[in-house]
Amino acid sequence: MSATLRNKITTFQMLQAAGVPSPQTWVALRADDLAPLLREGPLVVKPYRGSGGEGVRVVWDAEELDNFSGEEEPMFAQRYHKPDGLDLKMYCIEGQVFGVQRVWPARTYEEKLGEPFTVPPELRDIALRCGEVFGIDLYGLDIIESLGRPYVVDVSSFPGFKGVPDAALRLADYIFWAAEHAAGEQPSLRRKVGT
Amino acid sequence: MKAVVVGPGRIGCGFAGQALRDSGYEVVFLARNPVMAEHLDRLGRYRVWVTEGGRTHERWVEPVRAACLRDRERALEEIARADVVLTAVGAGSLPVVAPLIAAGLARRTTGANVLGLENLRRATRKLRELVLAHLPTAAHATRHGFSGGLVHRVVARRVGDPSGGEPLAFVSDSPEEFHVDATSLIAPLPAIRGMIATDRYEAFVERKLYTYSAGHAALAYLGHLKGYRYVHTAVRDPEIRAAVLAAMAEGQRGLAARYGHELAGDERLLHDILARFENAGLGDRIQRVGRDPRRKLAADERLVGAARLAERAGYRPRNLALAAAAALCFVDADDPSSTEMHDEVGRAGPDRIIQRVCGLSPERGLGRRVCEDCKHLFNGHGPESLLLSLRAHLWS
Repeated sequence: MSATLRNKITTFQMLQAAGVPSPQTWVALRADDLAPLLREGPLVVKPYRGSGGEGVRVVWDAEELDNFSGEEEPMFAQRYHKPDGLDLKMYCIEGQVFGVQRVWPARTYEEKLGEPFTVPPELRDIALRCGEVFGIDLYGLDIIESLGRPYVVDVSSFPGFKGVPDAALRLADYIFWAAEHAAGEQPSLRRKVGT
Repeated sequence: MKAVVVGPGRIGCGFAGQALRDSGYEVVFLARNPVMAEHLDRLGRYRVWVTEGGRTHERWVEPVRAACLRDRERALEEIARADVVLTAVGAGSLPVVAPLIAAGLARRTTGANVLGLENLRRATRKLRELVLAHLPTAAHATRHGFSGGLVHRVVARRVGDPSGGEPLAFVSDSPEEFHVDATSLIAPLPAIRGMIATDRYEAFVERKLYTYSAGHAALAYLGHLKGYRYVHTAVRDPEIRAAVLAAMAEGQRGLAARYGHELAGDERLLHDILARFENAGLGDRIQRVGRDPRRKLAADERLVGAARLAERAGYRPRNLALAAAAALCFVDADDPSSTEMHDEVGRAGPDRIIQRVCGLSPERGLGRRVCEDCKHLFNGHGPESLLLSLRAHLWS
């Protein structure tokens, strides 16, 4: 599933098929093909295999598309929605949902840590639906809210959980639990010594 | 020497059976569950996985025998021929097995000692009363010895299926000592490895209850609010660790005022307890430790009892109050006691439970503190939100 999530094209096909709110999405083989879409408003163009915000650009007019003319890979574009506030990073650990609001792009370590916030039910439902779509327990998603409506703009498996209080402990707790279940509730037999 | 253990559960097998075999006793378990009795009797052995310092030592306990309580005649004969009878059935089940123990003792012409390894206050008196109520003559009252048994070992779980052919395993930590009430046993005392006979039995019960058990409960209830599944991860959360240590220190101050510093112990005792909570090999779950919060919130129990004792000694037990408030928020779908209490707090607020269960007035002192903390926590808490910070009351 991690491989699927590295591909934004399949990721958003699956999210949209499941009804998860996300921006209108297009894939184009040539930059020129995106030009007519700019009449309706700006686009966010991303590498379809990118991660961590690398190579993400907001395109406002057709001339800017010239910068992508040499691209050999499919171009992944989404409708740009002006955020009402900060970016919302959601992190999930097997049904537990944590929210961190963060400026974008984050420059300093403090900005990357962001601020935890109490996740409202609507965003929690969206976050959990993303996990159900991909059948995963540990993941993160980025949400922007625009004109009061949430849009999922990225999903990643096993993110850094930056800004989640006690994230390392929470992950250790989950991993112990998952390992115990996978082993049929046996304790760590590999560490057993003596008879 | 022969010992009968009524209740081959976690403490019965994971502690008593091992201690008795290590001491050279012939061990017979009496089980209510026929599948368990048949399994132990057929295989004649099981394992205890003793976890300590990141390692697990496997101890085989063998040979053992077992019989089902439904096979009444055999069960009575086993008790009649035993030098010592131990129970490990859970406090609530003592009244169920007491008549059978009484009937077995009635067949004897000599006395026997009965030890109740139950998590119970005033266990010695209750065990004696329950059994003597079913004995035919007053002569038995002095012929037999009765004592609670204060076990310090944690046996977190059983691994394996009694209906299968593989020997069962019980996952425990390492303490071997247990206290018994020297004043109420008959001579000769059982010679069981780890047994400490004391004439201050109830004081040791309170010491365990108001330090170890109070800390364990505080850890479970605060850990639950923060979404942890395991004791060993929750205790590494800096906020929880500080609150648990402070809660145990509050209990210890009350104990010191009542029993003196020597019995209450010092800070090292509390750090040793924290180190035991860190034992990941035990895999001890928050759900197990937090189970049955209504019982654990009783006036003389680990949280409220410790807090009251501290308050009487002139201290403000803020951390014990917080832990009691967290207990009022504890909910586990598999634990009806917790769901009923949680629903009641949700419907009517915590006042009634604080009054009836904890024996405190929600309008003043400790009760008021618990009430305020509970309202604070309950408002943010729910199946969908976790506490991110005890200090900031920030929820996920």
